[in-house]
Amino acid sequence: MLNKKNFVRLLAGSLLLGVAVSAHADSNDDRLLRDIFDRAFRFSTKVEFLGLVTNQNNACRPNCPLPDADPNVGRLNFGFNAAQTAIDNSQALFQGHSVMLGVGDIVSNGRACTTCHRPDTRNGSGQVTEELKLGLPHAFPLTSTIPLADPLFTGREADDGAHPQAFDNLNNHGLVGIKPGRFNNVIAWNDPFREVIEWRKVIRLVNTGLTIGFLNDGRMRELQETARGAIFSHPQLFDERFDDLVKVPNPNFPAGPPVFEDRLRNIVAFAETATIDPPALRAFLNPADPTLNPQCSFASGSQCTPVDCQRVTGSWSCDLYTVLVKDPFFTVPVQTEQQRRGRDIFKDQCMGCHSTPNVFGNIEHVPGAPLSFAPKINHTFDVGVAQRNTFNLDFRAFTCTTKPVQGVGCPQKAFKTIVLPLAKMDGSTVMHTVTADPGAASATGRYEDLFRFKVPQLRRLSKLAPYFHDNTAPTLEAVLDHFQSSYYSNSADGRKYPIHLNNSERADLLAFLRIL
Amino acid sequence: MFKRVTLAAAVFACNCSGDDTLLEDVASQTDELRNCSEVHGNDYLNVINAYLNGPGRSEWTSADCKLMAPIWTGDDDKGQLFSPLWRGPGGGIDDWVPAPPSGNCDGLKGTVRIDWDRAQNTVHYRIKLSNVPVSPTITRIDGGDPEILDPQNPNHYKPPGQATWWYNPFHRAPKDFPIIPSDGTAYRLWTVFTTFNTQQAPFYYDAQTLLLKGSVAEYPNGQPPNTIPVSFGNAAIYASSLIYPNRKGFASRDYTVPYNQVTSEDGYWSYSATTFVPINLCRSLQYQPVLGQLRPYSPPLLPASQGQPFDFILRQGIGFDLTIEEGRPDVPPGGDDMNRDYIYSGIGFLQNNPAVGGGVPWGWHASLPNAIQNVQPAIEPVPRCEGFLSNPHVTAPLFCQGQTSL
Repeated sequence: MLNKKNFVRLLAGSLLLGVAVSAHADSNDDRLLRDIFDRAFRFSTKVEFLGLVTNQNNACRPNCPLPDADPNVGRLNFGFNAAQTAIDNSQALFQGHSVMLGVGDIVSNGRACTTCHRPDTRNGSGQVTEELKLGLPHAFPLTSTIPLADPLFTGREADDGAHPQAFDNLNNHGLVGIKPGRFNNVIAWNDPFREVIEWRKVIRLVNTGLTIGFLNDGRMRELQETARGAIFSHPQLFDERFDDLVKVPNPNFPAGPPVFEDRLRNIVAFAETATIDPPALRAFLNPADPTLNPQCSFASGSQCTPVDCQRVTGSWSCDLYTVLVKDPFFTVPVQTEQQRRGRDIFKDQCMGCHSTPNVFGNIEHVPGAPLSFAPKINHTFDVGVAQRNTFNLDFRAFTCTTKPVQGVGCPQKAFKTIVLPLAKMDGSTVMHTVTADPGAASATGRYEDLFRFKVPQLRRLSKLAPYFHDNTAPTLEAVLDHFQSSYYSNSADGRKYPIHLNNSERADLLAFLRIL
Repeated sequence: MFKRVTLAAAVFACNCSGDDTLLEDVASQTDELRNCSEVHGNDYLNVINAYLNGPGRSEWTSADCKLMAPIWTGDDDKGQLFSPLWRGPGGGIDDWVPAPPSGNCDGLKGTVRIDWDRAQNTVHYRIKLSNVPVSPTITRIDGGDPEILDPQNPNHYKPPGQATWWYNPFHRAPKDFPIIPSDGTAYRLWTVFTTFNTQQAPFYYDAQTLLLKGSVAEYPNGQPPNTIPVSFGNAAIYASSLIYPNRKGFASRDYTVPYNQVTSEDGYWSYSATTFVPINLCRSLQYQPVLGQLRPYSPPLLPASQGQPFDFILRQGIGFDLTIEEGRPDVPPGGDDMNRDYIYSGIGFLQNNPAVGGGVPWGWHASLPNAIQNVQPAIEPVPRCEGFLSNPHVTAPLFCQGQTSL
């Protein structure tokens, strides 16, 4: 256990030595320990996903199978109208009866999924003028398109605890203040893992069902858990109690068995199936379902032909899933010679991480059902974006000076520098002062996870700007600038996966990225 | 201590461009790694890989010495897991982890290597223990629980902070053992599924008293009258036979079980679907169970014919828990009559959990309450060489009839 006296002594000692305790040590020992850490995961590269539809290969999670999960109802529960053209919270899931007996009904701050995952912008005649891919508007400040009275702004304190920098970060950068451990009742109210804050983008929802590990750092293991966490964290102002209002129990519980209303599962079914793009990738959702994964044929409308089968397998008969797995670029419309060259460069220099065929997330994952021991069922990477902290974000917590009162909060707040005790692979504890986004480490508590984030999927990439977990790259050119910078080449994974592009190769790669 | 301070100072000196702080009072396992390195060379992964490429030898090798974290090879069909075992309980709620009688934990370590091969229908274990106490005597202190009284010792309770044992009518391992001194004690390795999400079992609570009556194990024909059924997740645990270290505290054991139907080492039994449940339903909350009362619950071991295939086990995630048990060599896991009195003792000693990303480092253990509630971090530090009780959950807010406090 940490010893307070020695901790104080060491902090003082480090100050005397002029040591900046926030920087990430990166000695040869650290690199060895990081390699050992990565080898301690049982990663599989089989193309399988852990969503609701795809449980045929996995042991069943709680409440599955889910024959009653309806994506169309899920769209309404998400906060859309039936046509998905406008926000309509009349059936949205964001408030209701709490499972905490004695608490009663929970009234939220008006936020639903669509508060952040918004519909496309349309003109007066209903035509789409800006594709948002279920994210926030691309242009900043957000107040240029979203009124200040919108729950996005009025409910902001539920996330960031009234952090003084929060409005600017949201309005000017599209970043939300996330406290990943805020509801962890197992640890003290002022534990650094409860207080640590991260400034993260709202992820646009494309191929949500074809990812492994959710949120920017991959800490969520499956989509139901992810949606549940979002629904409870974004509308609730206080951290002391995690009010579970999705699974509505029988009010007479425990006198009678609990009965559940599972709108959450509908939301997940919607997010998993309605965001698949291009449509052929639905075959990944459940290869055993011929309606999703048909045999290749010459019939009109078939998404693959026997010729494709012959090319990728040597046989004239196969299914769409097989073609998608064997030909990682099958659904990418490469037409020009420059795009073709760009594809080859991508294959050579980018697919070490963006390895999922036709999706281009990272396919390395722990096989099987999501484990009880959270989190990290995927492979996350440190590419130097967090340490760069381009927007000079303030990672001090703005937190209660005394223990908060349940249902009331805290009367006084102050800035507090967060020091996370992180476990190192050799068993030592590293006191890490948070001055940049810790990445997955703030959830796992592992030193080797510092600054690691999930590898995002890349389909419709040109519509997904701004890029990176902190929205610091406004264009694809800016993304490549980062990967050609010393921030990348000096990062932990930049050293392992070096990228070298001359001007011509860079132009070719950009041409390819734009058609994803 | 001087060496550790020197190490910390060296870290400061080497990384003065700006470093995290390495606590000087938290001794680094790097010391041990470096000791191994001095003798056997400095190339960690090469040594480990070389060992995995050969047959698992019975002596304590440089690979056993160096091994810092679990390492995996292969796939579901054919592969290997090589994991260190460090001091602590395997997850653990109410597991007492005693200090070695010598008070010295230097060199205390175990390793487990598993080689599986679906085509050969084999799962081969190689378990090694180093510097473990030989036949330690277990003495626990009665704990106070306001509702669950030990009929044998109604007046012997200590406050929770002082207690190392609570009477549990559904897990009646002996408080102190060996009961017969000549039996001594021994070690048993449990292979534990670490996914509580995937297996659920109904438990039945008296509708009037809200006290636990039993589970499907006691009521195989279904819900008894006047009860409330509540489902809890559970984890399958598979046993080795008892392991007796030699007088130097070293042990090496290997055995093979079938891939298609994994069994305990003896081949007679498969697993016990162990879990942690409230004895009083009013002291628990289904969605935040660790805020409430939790107690170990281990139903009898199932017959070998109900063993699961090893790839299923792999995909549920594997953990290891080396417990100290009564040393009667003729007693299978589960006791003489296979009742629930003695599936496992609740005395944890060495552990690891390769299902936790990165494994569990030396000086830490997997947090079962955190796993059950799905909160992070998944691991937490443990005392380095003192005895300690893991995560007792005796009392909690009441969640019945609108009450939110005691």
